[in-house]
Amino acid sequence: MVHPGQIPNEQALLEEVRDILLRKDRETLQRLEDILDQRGQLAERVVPIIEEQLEHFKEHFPVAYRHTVERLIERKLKESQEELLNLIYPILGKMIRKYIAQQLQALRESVEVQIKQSFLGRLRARLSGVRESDIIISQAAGLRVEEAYVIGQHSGLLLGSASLHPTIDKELIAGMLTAIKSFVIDAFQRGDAELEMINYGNYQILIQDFYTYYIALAVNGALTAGEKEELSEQMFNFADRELARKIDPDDPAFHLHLQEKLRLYFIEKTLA
Amino acid sequence: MISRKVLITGSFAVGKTSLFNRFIHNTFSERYLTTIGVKVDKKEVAINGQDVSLVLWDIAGEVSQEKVPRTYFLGASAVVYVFDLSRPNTLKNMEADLKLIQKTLPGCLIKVIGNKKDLVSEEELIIMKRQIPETYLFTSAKTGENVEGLFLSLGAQLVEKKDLD
Ligand SMILES: Nc1nc2c(ncn2[C@@H]2O[C@H](COP(=O)(O)OP(=O)(O)OP(=O)(O)O)[C@@H](O)[C@H]2O)c(=O)[nH]1
Ligand SMILES: [Mg+2]
Repeated sequence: MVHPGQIPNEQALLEEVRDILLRKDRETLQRLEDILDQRGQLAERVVPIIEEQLEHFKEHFPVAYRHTVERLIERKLKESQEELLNLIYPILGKMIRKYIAQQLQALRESVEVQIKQSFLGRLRARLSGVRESDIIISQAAGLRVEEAYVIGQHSGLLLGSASLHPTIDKELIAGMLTAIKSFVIDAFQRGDAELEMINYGNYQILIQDFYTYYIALAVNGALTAGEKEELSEQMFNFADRELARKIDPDDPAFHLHLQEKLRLYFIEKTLA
Repeated sequence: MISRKVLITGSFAVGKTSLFNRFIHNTFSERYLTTIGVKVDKKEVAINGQDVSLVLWDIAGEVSQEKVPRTYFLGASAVVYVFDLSRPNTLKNMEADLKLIQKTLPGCLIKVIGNKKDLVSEEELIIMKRQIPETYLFTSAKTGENVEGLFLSLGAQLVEKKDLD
């Protein structure tokens, strides 16, 4: 830059001095510019540094941040405890049921083998010609779930329901069922026992507890052990697929969703 | 429509069932039939265009709330604690009772009710009022005085609480 009053000669001189003084720096700058312009070159230099830093971070992470992270996780767990339990409960239940079913199956098989081998067993097979399991199935045909409810575990408030025929106040039924449940648990002083079934006239009401809610099914007629088992399994499947989440009892969309699904899972299905 | 569980509790024969029946069926009986276990009924009320379904749990009275099964409290959004204005004895455990309820249901709405207002004189009421907080409401299940008002204000407070959440 030429300032007025400056002699051009002086200007050139100054430039020369500058060049001598700054040459080294300028070259370095140029090299840096080249590196920055070419990604490959840059990476070559930077990656080892980052890797080294990461390694350092990894080694020292537990010390520096463990507490913070632990606290964070702990808080998150606490905040969404209900959600988590709603998630885990059906899975756990399913696992336990599966295990018990397997054990029972094994037991049944061993009993069957013993019967077949026994004289009595051979005699019975010859006389009747019909398998007992077939009889049970033929008797069961036509049994249906008439009403299905999802109910808040303690509040007794209705979360969703579906029924074959229009029924009187479902919300009231939900409340009463829950009151009966609480009463029975209190009356028999068995804190951890669950009420699984209520017989009412011709009706059998099957109850399956989950964490923040329970499912109740009303069936007209007597259920065999197999049917009970089937319905029970269905309730666990339902809970696992439709209810393993945070539940907002005030959300009308959620009520509608449950109503639809309850219909699909229980009301529109005849028992096998 | 939102639904809320409301528990009615307190000592025996203070008029819990009578308040319940007055509010739900608008009836009253002089006969005393003690409640065994629990009775549930519901009534829908409209509060500023918002429908609220109050599901009331009327339970057996106990001299101390410690005797009431915990499961009855759980899930309740409000508790109506009733004492008998004509039987000062029913006030005896109130402080401990209220503490216990607060502990069992943190953040729950609690209404304290002095019932059988028709059985006490104005003078007695004035003396009583000096001993207890202003917010306590006096009702008579027999005449129906303040019964509807009690549950309507309760419904309104529950709606307000929901809107805050
Ligand atoms: N005069 C008068 N009597 C009342 C009133 N409320 C209840 N009673 C009477 O008091 C007695 C007890 O009433 P309940 O409503 O059964 O009392 P409760 O609190 O439900 O009693 P428990 O179920 O045993 O705990 C009955 O004889 C009622 O008629 C009232 O406001 N005025
Ligand atoms: Mg009663």
